Amino acid sequence: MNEIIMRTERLNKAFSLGETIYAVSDVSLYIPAGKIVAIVGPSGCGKSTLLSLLGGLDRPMSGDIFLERQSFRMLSEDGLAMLRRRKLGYVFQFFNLIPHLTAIENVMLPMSFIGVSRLNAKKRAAELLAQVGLTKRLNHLPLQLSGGEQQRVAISRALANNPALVLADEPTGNLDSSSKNDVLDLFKMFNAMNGQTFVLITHDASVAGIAQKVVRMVDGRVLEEK
Amino acid sequence: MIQLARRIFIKSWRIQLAITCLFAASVALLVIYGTYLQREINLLEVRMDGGLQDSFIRVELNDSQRGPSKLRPSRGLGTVPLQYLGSWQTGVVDTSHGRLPVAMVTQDTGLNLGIGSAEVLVPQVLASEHNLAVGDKLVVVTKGAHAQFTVAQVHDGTIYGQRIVVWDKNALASNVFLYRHESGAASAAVTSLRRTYPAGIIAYSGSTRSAAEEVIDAVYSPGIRARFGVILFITIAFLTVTLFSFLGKRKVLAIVKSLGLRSWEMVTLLFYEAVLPPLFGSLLGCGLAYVTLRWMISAGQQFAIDGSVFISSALSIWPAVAIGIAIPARFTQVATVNQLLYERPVPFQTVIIKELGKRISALDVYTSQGIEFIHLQMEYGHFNGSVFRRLGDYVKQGEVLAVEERWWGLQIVEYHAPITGYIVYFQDELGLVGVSPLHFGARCGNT
Repeated sequence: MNEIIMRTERLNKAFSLGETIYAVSDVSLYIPAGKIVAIVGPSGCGKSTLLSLLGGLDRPMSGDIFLERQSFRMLSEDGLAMLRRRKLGYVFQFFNLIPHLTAIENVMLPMSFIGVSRLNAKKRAAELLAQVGLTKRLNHLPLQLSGGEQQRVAISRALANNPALVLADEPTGNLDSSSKNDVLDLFKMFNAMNGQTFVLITHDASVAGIAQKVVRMVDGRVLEEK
Repeated sequence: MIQLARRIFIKSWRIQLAITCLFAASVALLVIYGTYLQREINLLEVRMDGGLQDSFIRVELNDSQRGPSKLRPSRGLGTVPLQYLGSWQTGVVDTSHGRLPVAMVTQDTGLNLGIGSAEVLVPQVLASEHNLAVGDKLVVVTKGAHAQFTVAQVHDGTIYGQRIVVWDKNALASNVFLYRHESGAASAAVTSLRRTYPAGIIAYSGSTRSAAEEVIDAVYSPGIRARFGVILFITIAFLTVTLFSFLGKRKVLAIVKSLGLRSWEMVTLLFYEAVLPPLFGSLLGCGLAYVTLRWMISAGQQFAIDGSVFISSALSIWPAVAIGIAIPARFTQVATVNQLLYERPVPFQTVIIKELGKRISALDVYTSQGIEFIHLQMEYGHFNGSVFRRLGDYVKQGEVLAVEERWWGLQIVEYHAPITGYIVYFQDELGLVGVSPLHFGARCGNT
């Protein structure tokens, strides 16, 4: 399990807000396969920007990212979408469930992109939602769910296509302590069960506590890796 | 996906209904106006030549060009796909019913009228106007002599126009010649006749139709401009709706893109509302126009329901639909997930500049040392964008050095490092940035 699933080469991302601000500056790191990795640091240090880059949700100004030797730089927007579809799961801080779809339909959605039949998708979505304890909430719309429940649906959705790497941006940032523990247990459970790699962004020490590797960021730079 | 698209469509049903009504009203208006113009063209065409039959070509010469009665249009062209039918002389003569236009035909001009020498053919219009019927008598004065004729037939004007046709053995040389062209050879026949009769007026079914259309276009030009105005209005209105719809769905589009949906697949989310209202609107508009025209016909209006007018009117709005789909689809294609999710500007076009483009002789001394330059576009010594790298920085080939937004963010210009190396030249008044593969100290420039 010492393989590297993802690595970055001198990543830079700057924003122009009156003056030029480097949110991510010369970041080179690697993500070991099958581990839980936490990226920690104070607010505004560039953690979320880095995770967006790792997920192909945004483009770096320079540098490159490799997911299992596949360079992001060489891929178009559609190429990145194909990569996300098969190999990446993304959990947003604010859940980002589709409000028009029920919990089970939200989880089924990514499976429909890779051609899983509706029947099989429904079965797997129900299984995933059962694993996160939402058996009785399958047909509820996101607005009818609590924050913790929405986040659990979002995790199920991220795991729907059984991705090798799951990126989670402050997954417990909007949850109470009970829901937070539930969500962390889920990450540990899926990591142990399926050997999936998780990269968690957090500024919460207890979240970083479940990680096997911790990357500390300050002012857009990686300060240390443990 | 289809389920999601359908739910989004249903959620905004009021807007979709308004768009459907807009398209229906526009198509109905275009069909009714098109039918009205069609009627005017048809009426004018009949007035102009009585509606010359298909495959007939008529050449008319003025008085100074009278020619032989059997002029063959074969000069220098070999076999011409034309059949000579006959000729006659036109004029206006005194008759027992006033001065009337006549076509005077002689026996040797190739026409077989099937009437006796004391008989005439009268056009439908004159027959109605002067109450002439078959068997009535008509006195015609030609060359000072009175001759009485019997109306043998009422003709429809398709060959002779609105003229009385009389036999006149003393007629002068003909000035009107009638031909028939072979099927599909109209163009070659007309070319041949133009060479034979350079100053002649050549009339055929297509020519009078075009002439009638030109006249109607000229007479009704404000209305035709208004028709374009309607189409332009629909285009702008529909584009506005689809753009607002795109903006309203940015978050959903961002989510599905983050889950791995490709841009062309994302367009299916826009498909329902971009295609269904115009489609139903067009059909509804055609139906509405049909009912309205039927009602007008039953009320005594002389309209002819022509399918081609319906089709052309319905199709005329589809460029608006294409534009209304293409522009949001382009934004969907180029936007990153974060641009959609966090409502950042989405550039319609990205221009990448990675070389100087033209030789600047003052830089030759540097370029000879392997330094490569890019030129930031400056306005009065100021760069309207963001520069991310400075003098002395190490850069990789293709790295973004500076970004500039143009056209309110619709166009992004990215300046990329031309080679891997160090920035050794930075002239921020002229916007010149030089990158050297070796680091041998910063040169000139204001930093």
